[in-house]
Amino acid sequence: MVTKDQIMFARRLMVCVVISLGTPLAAQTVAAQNLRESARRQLAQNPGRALLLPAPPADYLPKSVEELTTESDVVVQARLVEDRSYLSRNEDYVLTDYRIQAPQIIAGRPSARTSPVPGQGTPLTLTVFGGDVMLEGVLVRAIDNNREPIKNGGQYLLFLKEAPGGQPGQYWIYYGGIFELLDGGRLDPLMKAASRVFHDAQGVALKEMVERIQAAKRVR
Amino acid sequence: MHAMACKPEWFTGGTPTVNFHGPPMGDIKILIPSAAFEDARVAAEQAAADWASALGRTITVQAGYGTCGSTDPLCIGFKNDHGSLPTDTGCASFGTASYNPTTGEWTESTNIRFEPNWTGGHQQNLRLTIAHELGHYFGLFNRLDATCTASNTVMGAGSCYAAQAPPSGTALGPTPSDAAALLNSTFGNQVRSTCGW
Repeated sequence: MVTKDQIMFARRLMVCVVISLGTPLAAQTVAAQNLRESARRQLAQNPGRALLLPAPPADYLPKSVEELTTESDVVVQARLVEDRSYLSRNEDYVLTDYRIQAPQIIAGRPSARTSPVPGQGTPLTLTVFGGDVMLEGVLVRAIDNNREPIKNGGQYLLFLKEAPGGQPGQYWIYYGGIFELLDGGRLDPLMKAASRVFHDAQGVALKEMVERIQAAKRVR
Repeated sequence: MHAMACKPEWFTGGTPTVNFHGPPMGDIKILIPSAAFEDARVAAEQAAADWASALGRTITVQAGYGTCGSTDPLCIGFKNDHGSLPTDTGCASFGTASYNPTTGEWTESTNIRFEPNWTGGHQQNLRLTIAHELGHYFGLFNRLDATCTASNTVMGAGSCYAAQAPPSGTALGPTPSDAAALLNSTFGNQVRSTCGW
């Protein structure tokens, strides 16, 4: 049985609830976006069309080869072989893993975490922004416009940083430091703004670059 | 032809190449997601007012807290996940969204991304940082040409969360050069060119 007092209390409570809900919700409150939702919407609104997503614009200030070297965890020359593309943890971006094959360590050394089993090193992986994934029947294509694409199977000089919170052996490119090794032994930076950022690393021969990297590591 | 210093850079990409940018019409709203971002409110209001004045747009920071509906390209939110992506450099970034491949316009809401422990910075640094990221929303890339300085563009480098105020003369909002790059584009709101600069 409900008393008159209880009805009055319930009315006051409702007023309080309405006020307390109304005040902080002056701004619209809707679930944050993720790519799965976006793909569903794309399928409904633009069937057959890919969902395109550019990388955030990267802020690069000029940096020397010496700075790149000392600030990186490891510098390697290796072949990059595409492994898989997948959604980031929050499902808001697409990432791609490349296997770092036959790495020649030029400076630094891969973290001890990469060898959990004695005599059996964990393979090194490069994780980059971008790639293609199929989501809800929609092609989701993310592209890093800060750099040229990585050629599957190509040889690269890589300045690497351990991926924060990543798997053992998982690395990111440090500060856009990825250079394709061209026929003839010269290096070509993939970064589109390279002429402004890597003043001293334009068209440099691999041999010269390796000497500078090793010298920088010794000074450190 | 413009005789201003500081060569413009536009935020471009895709095939065919487009200039990524927010819708050229409509009122823009900025949403503060929670009390954890309250320190950024005043700086966001100042940055919004600066860009509104520079571009002749309506840009408001909404009262209260909220998160952008994903379908709204006129809505800009805040996140504190800068550093979680392989492309993240510097101290803050602009969280992109999907875009229209014909026009380059964002088709969904976007974000200003701070670092997880971003608080404690001088309000002027926050204002400059938010103004810089809003510049990306409107289609500007970083402007790092040798003729660019902290006083003639807001699209240079800054100290996002430094406790001390930026040096005297630093532009805290869009400069005439920043606005001109967006308002006087030869190629409308698509691919912009540096021709004439």
